[in-house]
Amino acid sequence: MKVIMLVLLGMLAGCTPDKSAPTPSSSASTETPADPVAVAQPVSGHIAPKLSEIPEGPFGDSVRRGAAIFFDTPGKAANFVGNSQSCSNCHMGGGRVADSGPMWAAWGMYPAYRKKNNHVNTMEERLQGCFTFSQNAPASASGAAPPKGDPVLVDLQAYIFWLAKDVPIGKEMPGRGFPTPKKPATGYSVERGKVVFDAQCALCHGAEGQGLRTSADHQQFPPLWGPESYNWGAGMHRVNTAAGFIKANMPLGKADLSDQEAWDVAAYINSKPRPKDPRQVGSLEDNDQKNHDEDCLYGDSHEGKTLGVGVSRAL
Amino acid sequence: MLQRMFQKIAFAVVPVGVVLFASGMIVQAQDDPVKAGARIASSGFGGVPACSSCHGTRGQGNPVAGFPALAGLNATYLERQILDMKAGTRLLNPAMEPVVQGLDATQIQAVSAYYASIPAVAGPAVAGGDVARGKELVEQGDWDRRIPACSQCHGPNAAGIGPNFPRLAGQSAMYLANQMGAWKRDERKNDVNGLMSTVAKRLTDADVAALGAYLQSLGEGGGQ
Repeated sequence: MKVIMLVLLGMLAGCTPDKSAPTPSSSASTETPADPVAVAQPVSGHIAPKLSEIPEGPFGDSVRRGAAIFFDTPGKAANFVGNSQSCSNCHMGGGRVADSGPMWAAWGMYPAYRKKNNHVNTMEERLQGCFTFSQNAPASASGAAPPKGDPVLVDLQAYIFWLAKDVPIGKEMPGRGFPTPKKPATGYSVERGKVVFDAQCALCHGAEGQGLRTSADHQQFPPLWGPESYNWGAGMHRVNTAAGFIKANMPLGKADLSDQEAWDVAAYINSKPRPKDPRQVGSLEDNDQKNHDEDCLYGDSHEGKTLGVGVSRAL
Repeated sequence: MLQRMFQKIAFAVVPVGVVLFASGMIVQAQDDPVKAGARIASSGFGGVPACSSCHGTRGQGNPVAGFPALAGLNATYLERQILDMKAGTRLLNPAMEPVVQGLDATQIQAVSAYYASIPAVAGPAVAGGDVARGKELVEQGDWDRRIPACSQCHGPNAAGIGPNFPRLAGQSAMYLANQMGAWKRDERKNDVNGLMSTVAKRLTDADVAALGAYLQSLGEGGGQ
């Protein structure tokens, strides 16, 4: 039996590595401190205000609603969410944590040009992107992200603006985004990633990546693949992005995987089925050429199947 | 015709009746584990004292002495703790020595099933703890110090999630503080993948006091 190691699979077919990928954040937080007390120190230049400090009045009410949407998006913005993902699943601590896509570091950087859609995006349009891809809005009740001006987007922006209090406009803040760990010289391996997943991730996210739902309205641990996860167009489907998120944040509260383990398990998770890329209008091959010039497994052949076909919720 | 049908029905019914009777006997012989556990909890077994003498008649524990509440804990979690004490991989209070020596695996399972089956109760208010800060740590954590919310693993209102993330709501503040100390000093190490010991090391004494004050006050559904 021939065992095919998917080392550097991203370079073999389909997606090609994104050569324009941003360089890793230079913040010191990517180092693993030996002293646990060192971990307990703030790791960024900004400490966002606490939820208990949200002011009274109409603006504060909007911030509070925005926070509630952020922590429970399928429950509080149900019309626009087509899976079981909340904003806070990827933006830890309600979007306040450095190296975990903190919202305060994003606020002052928009409007910004995005290669993804080849035009300048406002924060509002950027948030629509999260709904479309990470929260798979095409499978939602409305079938799309909230329209511009929708109260969901207004409240989310009020919350994000409030988190960014005193952060300079236009300044790249330390801790922004997810720092990409150094890609191992020998690449990554889906097979090794499965070993990491089974040992470190399955405890919460389930052996089949299904997450854990404890009641109709409570998702305790988010699904990592399958119809309830992010789709093939979400940033997290890129191996480098997922590796960065995992390295900085997982396992929750511990975050002690090696760079190699983070890349391997990111590849394993992103070799699994998930909802189709909403940008695919023609063939999968065409969409791969057009939209997946990046470090991902979209369009690759894996275990006899082409990745990216897409899985849907049972109706 | 009618008679033949009747005979067929009678013939079909008899074996079912025999099976039901036989299975009833088996259940009776093995006893209901919850009932067997309840007997050990209230009356002890051989040289094993009644669990209730320290853990309370309703499994509410003894908050003042730091004896943990057991009511409403996940059965598998509880069973594993006792087995870990038996195996020497979890430190134990000397009062637990005869318990882990005197109960076999089946009895430990039964006692665990019993305590899992009874409702958790809120403990008395703790004097001096910062309840509001405890609530904040449980629901939001303190991410500026890389402390996740307790609820992210232990569930809403820390009511517990499966066998790995035990219920904390209603737990004795003193017991919780003792365990946090044990995690910090690496004296307790039976958490899965070192998840709890990592977080415990980031908690200050003030955090632990606040958590205890809030968690001990939580009742059945985790609400106050």
